[in-house]
Amino acid sequence: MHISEGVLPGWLLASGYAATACGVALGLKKLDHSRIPVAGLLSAVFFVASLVHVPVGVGSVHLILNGLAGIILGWIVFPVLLVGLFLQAVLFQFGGLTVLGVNTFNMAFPAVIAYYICKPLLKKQSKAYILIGSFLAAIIAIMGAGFLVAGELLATGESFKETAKLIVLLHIPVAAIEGVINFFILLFLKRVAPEILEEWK
Amino acid sequence: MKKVLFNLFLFWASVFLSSLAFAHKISAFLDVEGNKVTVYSYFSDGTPVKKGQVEVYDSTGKLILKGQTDLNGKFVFTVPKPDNYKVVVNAELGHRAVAEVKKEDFTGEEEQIAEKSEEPGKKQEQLDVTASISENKLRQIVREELKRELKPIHQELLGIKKELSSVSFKDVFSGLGWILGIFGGAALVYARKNGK
Repeated sequence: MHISEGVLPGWLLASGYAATACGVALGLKKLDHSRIPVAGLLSAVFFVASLVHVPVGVGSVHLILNGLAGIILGWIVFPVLLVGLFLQAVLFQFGGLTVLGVNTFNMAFPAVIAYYICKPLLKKQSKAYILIGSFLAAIIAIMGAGFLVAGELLATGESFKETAKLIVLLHIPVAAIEGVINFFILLFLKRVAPEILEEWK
Repeated sequence: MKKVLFNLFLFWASVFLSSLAFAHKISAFLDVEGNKVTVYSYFSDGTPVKKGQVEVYDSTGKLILKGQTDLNGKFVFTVPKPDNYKVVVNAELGHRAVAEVKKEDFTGEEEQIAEKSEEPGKKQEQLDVTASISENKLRQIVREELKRELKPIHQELLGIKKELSSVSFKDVFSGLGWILGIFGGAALVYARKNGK
């Protein structure tokens, strides 16, 4: 769901950077020494996830995993995704540097929303809650990013309804796969290292 | 804690290594023959861009024509005159690729009309036994032969350009290295902060 260079107008690119800057600042405030390894790992996971593609209809889409990162990191997902997206732009020409602010916001903000909605579910012991939380996080994070992209593409003259419909349809398999991935990883973490799933103060 | 991280890493390494297809920007490649330009557009995992919108601009920035790629990611157009042209391909969801073709890439294919005007004057010499080919005909033959010889080389170049634009393991590993470095650096900074 990376938007390429040269698609969006300048004012939108600047606003993206401004919004991302706020998110990153908040994220860095919440970051502390003990959480750096998890943050680094999730950044690597996100970085590599975009290479795992899912053929869908006319083209192909890729895994994002912002839901997983969000539900574990909260606001810290902003600097984590910024690093991942920056490297993807520089090394794979995936997305772009002028549009880095917009792309980061698109993927990080819904992830934070997923955090607030799904984190409480992780505190419960029952596996059913973790399952629900996993799928919910995947859906909120991915479709949320999709709606943001559709909204931004409005500025290029694309119809919001058409684009949003297309994005949602294309990413249903991705959301399903990520729901499953989230479930297994969160289950594993809850069993082996539950402190990672604690809420950040 | 370390065990958890290591296991997560292993899981991820296996998932990603098992999917050797790399996603997700689009690229556009141009092939020129005479005054005909063929546009090939692909996602970086090789999937062709189907029904992508194509816009062609001349060197003054004017939009001279629009079109759509077919189901193989191909679009063909002819140019009115040799010039520096810019081709922009737009796929859905904000994917965009730009390719350029230079004036020099267009081989001039002059019509052999000049041949006819020579006929009357040269009638005498054409009765010679040694069949002489007019210069223009010779040029045409050479051009056609060259085109045939160069076509496979052309295709190979396109293939190389396509490979260059796709993602390689090298890039992935360097990216992971950078992430390690950045977060390692952050750990250092935070450790110093905590120390004080």
